[in-house]
Amino acid sequence: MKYRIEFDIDLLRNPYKGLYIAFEGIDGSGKSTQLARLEEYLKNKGKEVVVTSEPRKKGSNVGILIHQVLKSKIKIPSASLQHLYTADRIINHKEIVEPALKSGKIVLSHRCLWSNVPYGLLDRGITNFNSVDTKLINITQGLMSMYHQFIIPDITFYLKVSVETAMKRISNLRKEKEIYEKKEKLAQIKSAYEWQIKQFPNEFTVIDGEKSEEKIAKEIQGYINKKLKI
Amino acid sequence: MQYEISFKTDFRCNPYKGKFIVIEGVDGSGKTTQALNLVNRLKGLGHKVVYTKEPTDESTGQFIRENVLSGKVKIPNIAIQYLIAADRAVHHEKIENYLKEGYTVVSDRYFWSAVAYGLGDKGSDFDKNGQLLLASLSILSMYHRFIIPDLTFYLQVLVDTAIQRIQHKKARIEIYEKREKLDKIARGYEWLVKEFPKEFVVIDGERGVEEVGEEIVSRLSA
Repeated sequence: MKYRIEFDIDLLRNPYKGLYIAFEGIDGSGKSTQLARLEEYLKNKGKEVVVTSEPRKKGSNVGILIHQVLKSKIKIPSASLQHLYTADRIINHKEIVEPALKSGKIVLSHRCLWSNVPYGLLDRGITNFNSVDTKLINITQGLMSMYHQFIIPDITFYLKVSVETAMKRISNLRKEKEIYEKKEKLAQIKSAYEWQIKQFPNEFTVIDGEKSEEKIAKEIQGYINKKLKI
Repeated sequence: MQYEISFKTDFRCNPYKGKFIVIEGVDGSGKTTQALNLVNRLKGLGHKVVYTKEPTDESTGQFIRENVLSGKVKIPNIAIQYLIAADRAVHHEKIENYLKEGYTVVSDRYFWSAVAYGLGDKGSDFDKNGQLLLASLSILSMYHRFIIPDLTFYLQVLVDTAIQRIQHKKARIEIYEKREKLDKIARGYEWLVKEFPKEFVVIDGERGVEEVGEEIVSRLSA
């Protein structure tokens, strides 16, 4: 059975009045720190903020299953893990992201569907980013799909750091390393992220993550102020 | 901005010496009984055979049984499809390893179930939704390099028969919800069989266990 599959598709924009902001970058790039800073900043301005992460860290059994895989407590094929991410993301969007956006809140997400391609390619051991696999990952995981699609964030901050900086931060932070937190893996994920940013230049706001926490926080606040016109 | 997506995809044939046999049908059609019977028959003839099923007994399959099928946690339908796909990827790895080693694999459900059950979820426009699901599935199959079964038996039964059999097994069951759903799934299967006549052998599952078993074996050796 041969099929030719062909379709045109737009990214699915946020149709609600809330604002959807995501933080992307390799492990150790400063996502959690900057997300917490922005949360505090916005709350001080009296904004209603909802924080979530993909995969979910709590409140989702699928998220818990994923974290077990990431901590190597369960071993499953990489394609299987990718589907678990998508299942978890569907639940996260339905339970947290969409209701918050509908009611006009600001959603801050630690990772979002833009993590698909960098991590999906790594899991499949693919280094040729222009191969059909990149499309397939986007289709099967819902960035572009006839079957279902995810809303993409209004702003995605990509925290760009060198692998060396990331490694240093990870070793200071965590005792228990996850499966992606090795030097050569980080390097591969980083180059996939940067390839993706070139493909979708309008979707990413690239931040120099080598700078001090304070400077980065200020820069991010600047972008947000412009967006919120405050 | 619009992005154009296009590529070719096709199903992957079984390249190994082991045979890959799948039994499909609605709940209560007799799949498990017939699959286990077939495994025993083939073993008796001296074949290396294994029985597998979906959802699997691995961590992903257990997760589905405990969280989804039990109805304990409310999960959106599409998320369920992805959980099943995650489990199927685990299942497929297992099947492929067995086929490589020359085992005949008899599987109680396979990815055809995803189309039939997906159609059951999506409603009545089978041609439109069916094509959509198949496109998604063939994309998935390309993504996974799923192997298409050498032979798929579809056990065809009336919804009434299926319900009667399910009732025997499970004490309390919400029949009305179940009947409507089973009916849709059955129609999903019928649509698939029509779409892929070469992939399916339709077996009249209304008859007794023995008779159905005999026909499966005779079709297998044909």
